[in-house]
Amino acid sequence: MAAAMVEARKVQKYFHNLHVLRGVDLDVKRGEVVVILGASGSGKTTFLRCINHLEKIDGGRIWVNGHLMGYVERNGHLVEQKEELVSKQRAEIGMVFQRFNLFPHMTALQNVVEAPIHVRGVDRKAAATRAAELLAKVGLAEKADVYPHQLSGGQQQRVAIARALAMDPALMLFDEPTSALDPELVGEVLRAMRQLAEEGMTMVVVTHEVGFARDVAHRAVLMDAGAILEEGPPDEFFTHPQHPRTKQFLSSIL
Amino acid sequence: MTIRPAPVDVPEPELPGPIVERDAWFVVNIALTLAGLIVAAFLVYSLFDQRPIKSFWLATFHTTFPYDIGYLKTYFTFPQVYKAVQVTFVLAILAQTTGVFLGLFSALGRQSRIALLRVFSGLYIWVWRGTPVFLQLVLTAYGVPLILESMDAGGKGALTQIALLIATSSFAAGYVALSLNEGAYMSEIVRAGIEAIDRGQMEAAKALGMTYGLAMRRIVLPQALKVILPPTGNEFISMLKTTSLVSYIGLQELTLVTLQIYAHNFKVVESLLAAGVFYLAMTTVLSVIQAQIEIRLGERRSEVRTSLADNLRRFFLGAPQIRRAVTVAALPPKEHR
Ligand SMILES: Nc1ncnc2c1ncn2[C@@H]1O[C@H](COP(=O)(O)OP(=O)(O)O)[C@@H](O)[C@H]1O
Ligand SMILES: [Mg+2]
Repeated sequence: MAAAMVEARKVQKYFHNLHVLRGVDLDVKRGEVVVILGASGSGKTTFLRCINHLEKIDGGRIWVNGHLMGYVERNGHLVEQKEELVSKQRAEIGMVFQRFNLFPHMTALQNVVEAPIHVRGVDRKAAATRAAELLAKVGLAEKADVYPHQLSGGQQQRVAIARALAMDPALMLFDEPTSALDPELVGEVLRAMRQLAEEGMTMVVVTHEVGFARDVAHRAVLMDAGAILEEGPPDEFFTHPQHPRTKQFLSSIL
Repeated sequence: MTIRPAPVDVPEPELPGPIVERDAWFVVNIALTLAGLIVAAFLVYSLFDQRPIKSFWLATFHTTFPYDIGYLKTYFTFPQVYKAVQVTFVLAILAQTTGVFLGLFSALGRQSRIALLRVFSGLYIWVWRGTPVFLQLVLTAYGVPLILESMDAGGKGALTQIALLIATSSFAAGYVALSLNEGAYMSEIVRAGIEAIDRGQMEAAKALGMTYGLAMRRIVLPQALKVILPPTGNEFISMLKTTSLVSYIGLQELTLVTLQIYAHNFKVVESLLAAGVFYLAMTTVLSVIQAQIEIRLGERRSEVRTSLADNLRRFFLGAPQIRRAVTVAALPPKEHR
């Protein structure tokens, strides 16, 4: 168990009557980059949100870094953890959203130092130094004192990546990080993600950027109707898909 | 595909800007303003004029308004009036501040995971918004002490102490009643402010490891403040006027003191008008401050600057409904906000 960063077993999720996740099984090894593809509404976002317990699950188990995520098990039943403990678990997992969700009342630098200071209790100076490094790393050194609305979408998303990295996460989740961007801004965000992957970060990425998936991912997975239908190394996955649904989906995005 | 030749150096013809059209309203406004200025100038002039024209105006004025104008000045020199204005102001500020906190807590209580808190907050808002504030005031001043005393079974406990305080101090009773009433209204304002903030903000904060409370305090509420502040200013102005009700339970605030003054000197109309002038002066100053704050808050988003003079003009003269292109253009595209 210690080898896997994420272990999801038979994860079930309902929204009222809607059965959104129907037994999702997925293992992500340390340092592995897994790309999740799938049609809109197939449950990709919901699954990512279950991994960091932004969404409760109705069945199955998710372990992150060897720890049961969001719950403790008592007599075979899941009992939800106290909020403080769940928050501690979440602090180890970075998440990047489709719509960036930067804090608009804070500058880029303030966005990045916010959680280290107020969640981890890092002192201001140290946090600011580290934040400046991270902003430089995503190519935004000179934008530290700028507010989000003064940044392009691509720049905002890179600040969001720096913000997540500031917590030194063991795992990064990306939910369609480039799909809200104008086409010419996609590249700069993918570059930052690729660099991160090369440094050995464990990443679960929901994206339809096939180029990125082929070059960077170790594994591609297809999600369909709330379950994982097919998975494999990107080369095989994209050139010789097995399942007709996968073929159909790939032909729709390629 | 054809490639366009590079442009040769042809001087561009100057493109004229749009013409500012002056419609009929422009003429009407100028005419009415001029007429008003002439009448005002004439009236002022006639006051300083020693000739019969002055006595004519004054005589006309005195028959249509047979009250002592000079009394206004006298009224403003009464020491009890100043004390009363202080009381009015302090009560309004205290009750409003407490109301803001009650509103915050009950708004958060309504979204709590604890069902009991949700029910309590809901009941509070329902009852206090659904009954007259005057009734609440009188009930607090005269009813609550009786209730508390009976609950304490005639002992000398904390409840009796509270009952004693409310029963003996009309300020305390007024403060309690107005705060509770205000809290119920502020609750709706705070709720609307919180709901105006994108849910993604709370999610992003939680994903970074913040607890609900920390995320509220650091991320959601600071943003909601911009939405909450303007209506809270209106509430405060309204509170300043509502304090006059507390005169009924005997607090020496501006309205009660005015009633006492005219009971003494029989200048009923003059005293009441003078009090009205005082209230109006206070609410006007607050409204101007309020408008200023509101515009500044809007500016931080739109990056358009307006001067105090501009705002004062807008406050007193109003502004016609014209969408200014600058304000819209200065906003970033929706996707990037
Ligand atoms: N909070 C929610 N309440 C109700 N239904 C939801 C909610 N979130 C997602 N859904 C539904 O769950 C299904 C899967 O959604 P989602 O995980 O966002 O899919 P994807 O990210 O693959 O497009 C969709 O049918 C969506 O409408
Ligand atoms: Mg999605």
